[in-house]
Amino acid sequence: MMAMEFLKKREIPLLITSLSVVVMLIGYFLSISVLKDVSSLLNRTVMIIGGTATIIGIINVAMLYVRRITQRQEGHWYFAIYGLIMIAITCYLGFAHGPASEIYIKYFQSIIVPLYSAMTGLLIFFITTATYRAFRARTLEGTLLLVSGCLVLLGNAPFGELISPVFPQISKWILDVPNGAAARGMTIGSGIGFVALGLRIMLGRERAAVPGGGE
Amino acid sequence: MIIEKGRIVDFVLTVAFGVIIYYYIQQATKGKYREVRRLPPLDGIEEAVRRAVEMGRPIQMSTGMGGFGAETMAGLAVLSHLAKLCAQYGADLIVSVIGTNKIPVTEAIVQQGYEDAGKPEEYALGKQVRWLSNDQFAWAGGMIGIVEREQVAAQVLVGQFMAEALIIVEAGMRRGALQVAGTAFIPDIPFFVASCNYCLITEEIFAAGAYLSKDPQQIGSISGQDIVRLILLGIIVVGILAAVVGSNFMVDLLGV
Repeated sequence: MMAMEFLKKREIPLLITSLSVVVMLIGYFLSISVLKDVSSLLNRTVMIIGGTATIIGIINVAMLYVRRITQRQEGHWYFAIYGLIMIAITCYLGFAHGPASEIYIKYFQSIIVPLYSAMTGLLIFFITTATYRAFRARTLEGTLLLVSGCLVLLGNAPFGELISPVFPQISKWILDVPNGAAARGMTIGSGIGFVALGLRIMLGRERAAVPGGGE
Repeated sequence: MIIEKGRIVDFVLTVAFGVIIYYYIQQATKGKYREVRRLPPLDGIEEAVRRAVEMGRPIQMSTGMGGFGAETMAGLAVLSHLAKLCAQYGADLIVSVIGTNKIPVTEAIVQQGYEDAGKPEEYALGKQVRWLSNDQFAWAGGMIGIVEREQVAAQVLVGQFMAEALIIVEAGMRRGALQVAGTAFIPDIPFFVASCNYCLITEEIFAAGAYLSKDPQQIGSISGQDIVRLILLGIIVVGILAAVVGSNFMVDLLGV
């Protein structure tokens, strides 16, 4: 009991986090073989934990579905039955025939491939509607976006080059120069923010890393 | 050489930046820090919670894809604040999770939020935090399902989002949900700007935890970031001037 209380303290996870970060960082910058081995071990451990955590996820979702069915939650419970059946079939095929078996792959792909195609199809329509909303010349920035967007479209669409060979050049310039410059600025800003966030986590000031931190 | 070849300058800069940011954190501990400018998207989170309460509908949150990268950590910091607000105001919170390894951490953060608000009894395992899938589009489909079936009043999306981002925010847009979104993945920024009410652009998500906590030490780290940014700006200007006069010394120096 006392051991559990000790392990729950925020200092322990914080110490593990800080040590892992230091080892990974030093392993990246310095050529010390022991540290490289340790950082490689840490990477492998993360993968193993991630794989094991799938079991937690399946239990979590199964519990949720069972609760929905037993409580007859409006608009949910029949989907929960379907979800449970799919989990059971997948587990059965995976355990009985193996994840590399033909039946398992066929079962998986015959569901996943059409669903992925449907989602990608949705994405195309959503890009169009979002573009329509964004491309409105109500402000100076909006007008700039509209004009540059149209030029990039013309530069990338096959008929743009047929109208004028200048369009692909303009499109490339917009993407490489103003767009590239802004994107690099954002990337540098992100990198600095990342360092600051990492330090806050290591110092235990970031609540996300250790619940209760930053209080 | 103990430092890997080609990483000497990287090492020096990383250590120097860390020291600068740490110095400003320490200064903030002594009460010496500057106020952070207003970030409307983060203020919009409270607006989203209030809207959810007024409409009697839930608010959906996601920290996006990936493991425990920087963007996810930033998203979890926002979640921590959001969970506390939801508990305080009595809004229904749904956290849609992709990646099973994130479930225990997400649950712990949401639970802590409810405890901080003095309403631990309102947190229930599996009620707020829902694992939808480990697959990108299945998870996105699950989120759209929640938007449609539960008619969410608002969505808060802060973390690592990719091709599925537009699908999720457009579903919220069509449902009329108030949306706050942020990511460091640049190709998704236009999608969020087009479809959301508030958008956090790249590094703003990393400042979110500090901004929302109002903790001086965390805010101090943002002052440190500004100094680092100025130094980098100086390096860029020197590099540009050197390139203009035909010198390659900055490129050579950074490659050491």
